[in-house]
Amino acid sequence: MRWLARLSLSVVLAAASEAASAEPLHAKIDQLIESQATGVEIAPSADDAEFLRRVSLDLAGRIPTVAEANAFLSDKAEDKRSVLIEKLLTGPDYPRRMQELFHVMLMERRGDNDEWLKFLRVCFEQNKPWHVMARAILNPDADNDELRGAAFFVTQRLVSEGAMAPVDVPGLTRDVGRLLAGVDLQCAQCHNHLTIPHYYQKDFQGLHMIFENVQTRRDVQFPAVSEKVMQAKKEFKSVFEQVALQTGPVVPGRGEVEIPVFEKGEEFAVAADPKTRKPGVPKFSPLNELATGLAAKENDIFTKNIVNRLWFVMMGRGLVEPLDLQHADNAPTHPELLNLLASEFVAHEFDIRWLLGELARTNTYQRSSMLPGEAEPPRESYAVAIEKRVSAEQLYWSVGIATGRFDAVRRSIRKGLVDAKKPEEEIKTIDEATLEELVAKSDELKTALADFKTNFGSGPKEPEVEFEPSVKGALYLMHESKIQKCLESGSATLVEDLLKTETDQAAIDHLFLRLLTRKPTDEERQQLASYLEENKERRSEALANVAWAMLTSTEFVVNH
Amino acid sequence: MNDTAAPKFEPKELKKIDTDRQVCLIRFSPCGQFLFGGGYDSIIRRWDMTVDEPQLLDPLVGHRGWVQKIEFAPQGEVLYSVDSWGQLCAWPYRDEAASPIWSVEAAHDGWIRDLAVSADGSMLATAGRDGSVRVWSAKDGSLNKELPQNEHDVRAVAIHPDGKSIVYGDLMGRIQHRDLASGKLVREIKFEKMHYYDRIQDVPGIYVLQFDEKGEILICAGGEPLSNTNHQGIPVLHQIAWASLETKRTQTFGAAKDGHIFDLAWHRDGYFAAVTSGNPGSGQFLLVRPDEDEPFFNFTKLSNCHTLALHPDGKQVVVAATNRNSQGNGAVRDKEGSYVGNSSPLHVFSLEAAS
Amino acid sequence: MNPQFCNSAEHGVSRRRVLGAIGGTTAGLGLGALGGMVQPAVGEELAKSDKQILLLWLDGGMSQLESWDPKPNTRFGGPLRSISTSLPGVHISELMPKTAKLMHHLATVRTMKTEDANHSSGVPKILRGHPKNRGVVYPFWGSAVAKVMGPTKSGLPPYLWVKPGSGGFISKYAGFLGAKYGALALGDGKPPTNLVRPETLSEQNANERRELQQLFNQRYAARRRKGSNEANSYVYDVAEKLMQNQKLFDESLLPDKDRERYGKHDFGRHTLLARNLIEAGVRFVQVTSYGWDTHGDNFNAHASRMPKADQVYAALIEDLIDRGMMDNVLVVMMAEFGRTPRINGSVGRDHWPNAWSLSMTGTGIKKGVVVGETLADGTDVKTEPYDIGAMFHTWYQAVGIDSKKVEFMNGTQPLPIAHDDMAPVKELLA
Repeated sequence: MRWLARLSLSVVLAAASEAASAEPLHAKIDQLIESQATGVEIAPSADDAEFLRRVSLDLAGRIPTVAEANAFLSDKAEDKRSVLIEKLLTGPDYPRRMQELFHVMLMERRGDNDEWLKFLRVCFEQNKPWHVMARAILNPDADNDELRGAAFFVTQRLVSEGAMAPVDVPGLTRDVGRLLAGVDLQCAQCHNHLTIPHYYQKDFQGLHMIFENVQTRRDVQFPAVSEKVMQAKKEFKSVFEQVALQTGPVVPGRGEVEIPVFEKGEEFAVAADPKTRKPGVPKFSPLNELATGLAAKENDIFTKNIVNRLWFVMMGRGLVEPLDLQHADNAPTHPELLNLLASEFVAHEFDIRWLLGELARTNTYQRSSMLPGEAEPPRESYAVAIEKRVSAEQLYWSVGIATGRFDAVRRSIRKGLVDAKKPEEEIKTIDEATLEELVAKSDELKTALADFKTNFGSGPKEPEVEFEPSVKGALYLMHESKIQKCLESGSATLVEDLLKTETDQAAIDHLFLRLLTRKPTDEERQQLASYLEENKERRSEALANVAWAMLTSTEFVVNH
Repeated sequence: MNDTAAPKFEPKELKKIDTDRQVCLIRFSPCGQFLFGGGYDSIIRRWDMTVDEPQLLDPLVGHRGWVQKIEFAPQGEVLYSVDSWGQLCAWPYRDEAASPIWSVEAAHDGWIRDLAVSADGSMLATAGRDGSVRVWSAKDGSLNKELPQNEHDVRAVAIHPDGKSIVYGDLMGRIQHRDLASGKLVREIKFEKMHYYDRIQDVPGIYVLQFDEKGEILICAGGEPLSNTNHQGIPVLHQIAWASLETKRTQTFGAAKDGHIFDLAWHRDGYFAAVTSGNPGSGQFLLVRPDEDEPFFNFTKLSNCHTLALHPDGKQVVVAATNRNSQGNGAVRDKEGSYVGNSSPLHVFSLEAAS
Repeated sequence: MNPQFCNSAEHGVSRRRVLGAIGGTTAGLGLGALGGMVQPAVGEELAKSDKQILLLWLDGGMSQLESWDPKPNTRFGGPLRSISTSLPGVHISELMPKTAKLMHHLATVRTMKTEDANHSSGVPKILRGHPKNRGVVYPFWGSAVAKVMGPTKSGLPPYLWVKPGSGGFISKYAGFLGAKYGALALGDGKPPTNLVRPETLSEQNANERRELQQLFNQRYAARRRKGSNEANSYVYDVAEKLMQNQKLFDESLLPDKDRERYGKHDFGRHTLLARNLIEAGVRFVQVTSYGWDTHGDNFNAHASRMPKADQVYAALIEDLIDRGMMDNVLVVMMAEFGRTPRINGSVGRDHWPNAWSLSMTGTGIKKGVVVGETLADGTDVKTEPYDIGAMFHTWYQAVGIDSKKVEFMNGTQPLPIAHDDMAPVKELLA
């Protein structure tokens, strides 16, 4: 009955927070979290270095550069954290990071598609509201060049995987529920859910029939879907009772939609064009009903799903866990907070950037990941920052930046252009190329990115939630030649820069700042100094060894 | 080849004979009166086909494994049969309660794949899964000759009409021509595609080897297998010129689902009648001229056709197919709760053009 | 794959999280096996155990009629003969002459009766021992053993899977136990990619790197929750263990005689590797042979496949006897079901959970027994049927685990390691 007690507590809090409603959201969040974290020792705020690394990984998808670290650590301004958050949210890395994050979240490594990636990129560049994105996904508009790639969410899930694995419409149905409404209806496919009283078979079947009615368009090259005319309700049976039931299309969180009746021959708004093989557009579009009904302010589960997921991204744990099992018997750890996040998110027009900013400004987010005492406080207390999985993409950008591999590739491409006496303009484009543009110009960097996804991403269809290191990932970092290259002078700048330092102490300080975004402890300084001293005859090897150990250390591969 | 163009026509299904069991092979007796069917249950069934409703007579009983091949002596009313336990028998096929004239219980170690009778009726050749090929006296079943042992399952055997050469084809798609007297290898060819290896399994493609009457053409029929679990493959028929051992023509019938040619007969009007069985219920009964790519008749309404018997008068053919819904996981039971087996319905077709 | 049945993850995960057992900080990420045992003392005992398990999995469903339970010269018996064995009165298929001579070392069950006639749900059901639905996803057998017993003192990863095709770490087999109890799959018996240290990296540098890494990790972990660093360290330890045992994966080092005896086909090569892995101390090794789903041409298929399985199984049993390993290794050869008695139009046999057979031997198992009898035509069991749950009890008992007492711990929820309504089959236990 703990949740009942919690409920009465949150009623009190709700009253209190109304009085202080002028307060910004991040302050209200901290109140709600801290009032519930009783009986546990709360960790102090993370120091600037820990905060900088964490927020850079979260909002820029990479660790900070040495220059960024120096600037932030030496900045004396009181509000420098807030300023940094704003800078990251409006900076050039943010759309890329969000694209990577949402790509993995929504596609679960089922494959890539340029049009889809463009859709995500455009949305985050323009900070499109979440309900607009979700509607683009659920009812893709093939005439909108920027957003049409959203159809990939559906089309990629309708690809047949061969004779033994036909097109998986139930899988698509399930994913729409899981990823956009936070409800996993799979078990309700064949019967009302056994252990979750609020997941009904009708919900599954009613959503399923919407996608049974969808076809992947073959007349265009980009991902696109069309719909058939829906005329009749769907019949289904429970495997337990074998009683015939029926339903029309059902929008999660909203209920059944009436199927309108049209005169024969009047069903289409736009007739099919047999010449171009362009399919017709029926007057009644269940996808449109789904998109506008599901992704709506009035739909609580839609809003709670995304705020819960964004909370998870920043805090390392969902208020509802698993992220796709919202239901009455799986209460959020902080019901009042979830309600607050949802209502504020709606009030701010589904603004993802705004919410991430507010979350980053909380003390809850900015706490140290170091345990204040002997005990491990429960994760749901948020008394200590929760360590988060570093995605394959975050790891890739971070390794490349830390080792200066990107810098060296840029240098070598530049040299090629200079040697070939290319015009200034062209050389300038390389100097100014973003890391992504640089990768696009280098086969090796491209291959390495694919390697990272293979070795550090989960398999297709597996959500990436927890830190799950693998033996193959370890072996990759241990032995792969592309990683070795990152530690060789000539092909990366890290060891080159270290060899230029005048003292071992300077080298050690540089290593820590560049790779781990912090200063060494005295003990570390001593240990490494003696290691370097012992191996001064083979200094570049010794420095490479230290760098490798840092790169593969838990501190590097986990977002703490 | 027969130079006169064969009539093209649509065979008509005359009747269907229901069976209660599955058969491996059916053949008409040379006199045309009887239809024999070698069964999965070791019994050789016998129907009198001269009456309107074909009548099931007493069977030939004595085999134990599957009776997969039946042949007849060119003269006299003798039927030879082999089974999957290695037995070779000769039967007076007209006798009401036939018992074997002679029998070799262990002609092979296990499954005998094929049986051939020489044109003069003096010799029988058998080939088996044990890799051996043997020649027997048709008169008393004594062993005349043991050909060199093969590494692989030998799936089909034929004796050249001149009585001097023997050919046989194995699991790997290799066909050997050997001198009957010395056993020496004379020539060989290999159809690589008539063998498929997948997941520790060799899948055979050779099902039939047959000479034409003059001994000028050797037919090798079966399939080009494409799967180890589902009987998928492309049914194929190679016409090999005996003089050069060159493949003169290759005909394929259908797609991967169609499987293999299981049985084939050469009609005296100059066309082949063949049946195929594939995955999961595909079956073709087809008639094709040797010089054309497409069958002039292809009947696909039967499931899994395994064998056909051409009446000696050339006017009728019987196709053994399989009952519908022969596939299914778990225990399939009838209304009384009995476990349901499958059967091989026999479809009798007229080969005469409708006048 | 079309999720047809609720065999799957989803009931489960909900319960797991509701009950508060949280994955990210799963305890016991080290090499020990104590993380989730009900009674730590039992866990410690088991971790010290030298019992090992080798599972030969004939994926797709081997035919019982063409192997352990032939019905020659009956309606559904097929074309093949049976042969006598070293057990008086017991016959098996003629396709297994080598195993026939070793039947007195084996225990055979002929009355397996299980529920699922589909591969997609049948395979996981069997490999999980088909426990009662507790709202969690049960681990596959290998993961369960990895959890309950942990690695042997060799320190090698406890659950290796030798299979044709690709390899990798298959975390989903672990079910609710958490990813790290998944199977490390050696695709085509080959070691994981990047196992071999490149020449450009000297042994000295490699060692120094690992030492330095541990230095950083220790400092980091000292003030953090245990999970992350244990997990990260664990994968490097396993990687290193595998490197130390690189020779295990080098086929060229195997004696020609062994390679002949096991056969040079995949199943032979992979089982020979498995024997070496068992000898090197891997707790649980599964070898998978694919392609037994003989819906078409069942008899030629088995005529080609079965002698290879016969060769493999016989060579393995001989080796276990010769090397004195029968006392500590449990061997099981099985599939997800057998094949229908009735022969379909494609001369094949379809899926048959109703009355099928499996074989076992080794530690704890009574030798020379055949348990159960099917009807004369093979169309059902005649004597007491056994579900896979009874086998799991039997096998756990055989390796010294009291399957009625030892439980998994899923947060605060104790879960039986085998179906709680079933019991070991006494006739099978030594």
